[in-house]
Amino acid sequence: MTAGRIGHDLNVAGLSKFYGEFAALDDVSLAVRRGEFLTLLGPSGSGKTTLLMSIAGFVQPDRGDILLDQQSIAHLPPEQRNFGMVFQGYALFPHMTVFDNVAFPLRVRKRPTAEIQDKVNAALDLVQLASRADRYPRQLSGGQQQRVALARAMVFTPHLLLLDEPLSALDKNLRGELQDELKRLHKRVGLTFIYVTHDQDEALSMSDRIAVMRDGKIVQHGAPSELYDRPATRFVADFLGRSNFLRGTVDAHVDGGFVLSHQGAKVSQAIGDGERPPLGKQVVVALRPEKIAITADGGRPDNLLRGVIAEWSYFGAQFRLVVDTLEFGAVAVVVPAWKHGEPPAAGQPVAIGWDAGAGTLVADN
Amino acid sequence: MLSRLAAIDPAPTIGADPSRSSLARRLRVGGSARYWLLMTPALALMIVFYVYPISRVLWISVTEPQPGLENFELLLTSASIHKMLLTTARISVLTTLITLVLAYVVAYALVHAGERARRWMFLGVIVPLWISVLVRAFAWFVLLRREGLINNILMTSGVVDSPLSLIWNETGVMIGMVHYMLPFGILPIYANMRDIDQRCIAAARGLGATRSEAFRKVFLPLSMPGVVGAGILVFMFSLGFFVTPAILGGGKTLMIAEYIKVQILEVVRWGVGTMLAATLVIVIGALLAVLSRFVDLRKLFGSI
Ligand SMILES: Nc1ncnc2c1ncn2[C@@H]1O[C@H](COP(=O)(O)OP(=O)(O)OP(=O)(O)O)[C@@H](O)[C@H]1O
Ligand SMILES: [Mg+2]
Repeated sequence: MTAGRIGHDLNVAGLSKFYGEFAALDDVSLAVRRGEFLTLLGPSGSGKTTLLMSIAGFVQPDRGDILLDQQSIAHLPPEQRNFGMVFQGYALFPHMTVFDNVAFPLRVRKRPTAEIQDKVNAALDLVQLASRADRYPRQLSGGQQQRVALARAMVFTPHLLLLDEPLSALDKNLRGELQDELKRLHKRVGLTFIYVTHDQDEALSMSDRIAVMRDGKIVQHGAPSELYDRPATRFVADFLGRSNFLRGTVDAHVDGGFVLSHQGAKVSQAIGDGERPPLGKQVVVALRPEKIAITADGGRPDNLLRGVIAEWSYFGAQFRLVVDTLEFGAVAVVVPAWKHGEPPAAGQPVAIGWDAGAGTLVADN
Repeated sequence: MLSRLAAIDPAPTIGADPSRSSLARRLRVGGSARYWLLMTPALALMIVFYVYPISRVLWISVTEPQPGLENFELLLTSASIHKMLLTTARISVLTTLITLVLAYVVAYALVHAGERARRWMFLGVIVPLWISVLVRAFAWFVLLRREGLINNILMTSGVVDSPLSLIWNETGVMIGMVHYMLPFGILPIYANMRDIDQRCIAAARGLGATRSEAFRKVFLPLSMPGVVGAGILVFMFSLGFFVTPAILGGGKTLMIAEYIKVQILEVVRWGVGTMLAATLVIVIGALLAVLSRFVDLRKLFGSI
C-alpha cells in the first residue's frame, strides 16, 4: 500500500454473503475510484450495510474479493484495513471526551503526544468543534455528535471513509446543512468516500457516483444525472425521483428511435446508442413528470396526449398535476408555477406533450 | 350502589362507566392522604420488624452493662475483636474480588451468547438462588472434606499425596461464600454490559484497535459501573454472612456475624454483641451512601 498518498481506489469483485439460504449480497462487483464520493443507495434490506461492513471487515463474505489499490484485503481484520468508519448512530465512546474520542485512533497507533495534540485539534477545527473538546458526547447535540464521529473517522488519514447513513437521525434542516458540510469536507480533504443512504435526494446532491442496490445486487451505477436521466430499469426510475411508465408494443422503427403504440395512441421514443427493440415487443418507457409540458397552444412536441386534470397540488415552486388520459390512464405532470400562470382547475381539459428524447426505455423490473 | 347503577344502564361501556369514574374521582380527592393510607401497612411492618429492633440494638449497645460508650472502646482495645474484624475484612475483600472476576467472565459470556444458550446459562445462574444457603453449605462440606469427592479425585489421580485441607479454614469459607455470592455479582454486571452499545466495540476495531485493545479501552471502562455496584453489593453481603462461615469455618474462622452470636447466646455479653451489630449496620449504611454516589441504587436492586 502506498503510504502518504491521500485517496485510494477500491475494487469489490464478485462479493457474495449468505445468511443461511438468503443472499444478503449476491455477486456484487464495484469499482471505487481515488477521491471519489460514491453513494450506495437502495431500499431497506437491500444489502447496503452488509456491503459496507464487508468492506470494513466486520462481515466475512462467503465469496469474492476486496482489493485496495490492487491488493487483496479480504483476509485482514478490521483494525488493519485503516478505513475510517462513521456508524449509523455514531457509536461515540460515551466515557471519553470529544478530544479523547478523536484521539483514539491515533493513540492505538501509538503516535507521539505532540502529534496527537496537533492532529486532533486540526480535525476538530475542520468540523468546527474546537471549543467543545472537553465535553462528553452526551453533552452534544445530534449534529455535533455526528461531526465528532466524522472527525474521529478522518483524523488518522484513513485509506477510505465509510459512512453508514450518518445523517438519518437528524432533522431536515440540520441534515441539509451537514450535507453541504460533508461535501465541502470531501472536496477539501480529497479522501475516498463510500456513503450509504436510502434518501434519494441526498444521493443525488452529494455523490460523484451512485450505485443503486436491490436484493443484494447492484442494479445500476453511474453519475447522478446519468442515473436520473437514463435509468436502466423501472425500479431505478421509480426509486430515484418519480416517473410515469408508458407500456405498449413496438409498432414501427423510425430513424433514431421507434414508435410505441397502446390503445390506438402512438408515441415516438428516441433511442440513444442502444439497440432498437424488435417489432411487436412489449416495452416500458419511463417518463419524468417534469419533462412533460402542458401545451395550451403554440409548441409542437413530438408526442401529444389529451386528458383532464384529475387533481393538482401547489408546491410553491411548482404545480404537480395528475392528468387522466384515455390511453395511458393517470399521468403525473410537474410544471413550474411561474410558467403556468393561472392555477389549474380539476376537470379542466388539457393537452400534454413531450419530446421523443424525454423518455427512457427501461427494463420492466 | 353499583348494582343499582348497572340496573339503570344495562350495558355500561367500560370506558364511560359512571360508577367507576365517580369512584376514581372520590379516591383522587386528597391524593396524598390516600398515598399515606396505602403506605401505612408497609411502614408499620418496617417499624415493627426493622426500625424498632435496630434501635433497641443501638440502645442496648450504649446502656449494657452500664450507660456509656465503653462497649465501643473495645473496638480499639480488644485484641480478639481486632483479630475477628481483620478476618472478616480479609475474607470479605477476597470473596468480593474473586466473585467479581468470576462474575465478570460469566456476565461477559452471557452477553455474547446466542439466544438459546443464554436462556440455559441464566437458569444456571438463577437456580442456586432457590436452594437454601444451608443446603449449599452442607453440599460444599460433603465435596470439600478430607474424604470428600474433590480430595478423593485428587488423591486417586495422583495430583496430591495427602488430602488438602479445603474446609474448616478460610479457604473453605471463601469457596462457599463465592459460590453463594456469584448471582449477586453476575446480575448487576450483566445488566450493565447488556446496555453497552456493541457498535462502540466495532467502532474501536474499525479505528485501529485490536480485539484486546477494544476490550481494555472501551468495553472494560464502560462496564465499570456494573462492577463497582456488584462489588459493593457483594462486599456488604459478605460482611454480615453467617451460615456459610459457621458451617465451613468449623468454629475456627470467626467472622463478625458468628462472633456476635457467640457473644449473645454463649457468653451472654449483650453489650458487646449489640455494639458489633451496631457497627456492622453503620458500616453498611456508610457503604450504601458511598455506593449511591456512583450508581443508581434503584437500578442495582432491580426496580425500574
Ligand atoms: N446477521 C444477519 N443475519 C441474518 N440476516 C441478516 C444479517 N444481517 C443482515 N441480514 C439480512 O440481510 C439483508 C440486508 O441487510 P442490510 O443491513 O445490509 O440492509 P440495508 O440495505 O443496510 O438496509 P437498511 O436501509 O434498513 O439499513 C436484510 O434482509 C437483513 O435481514
Ligand atoms: Mg443499513
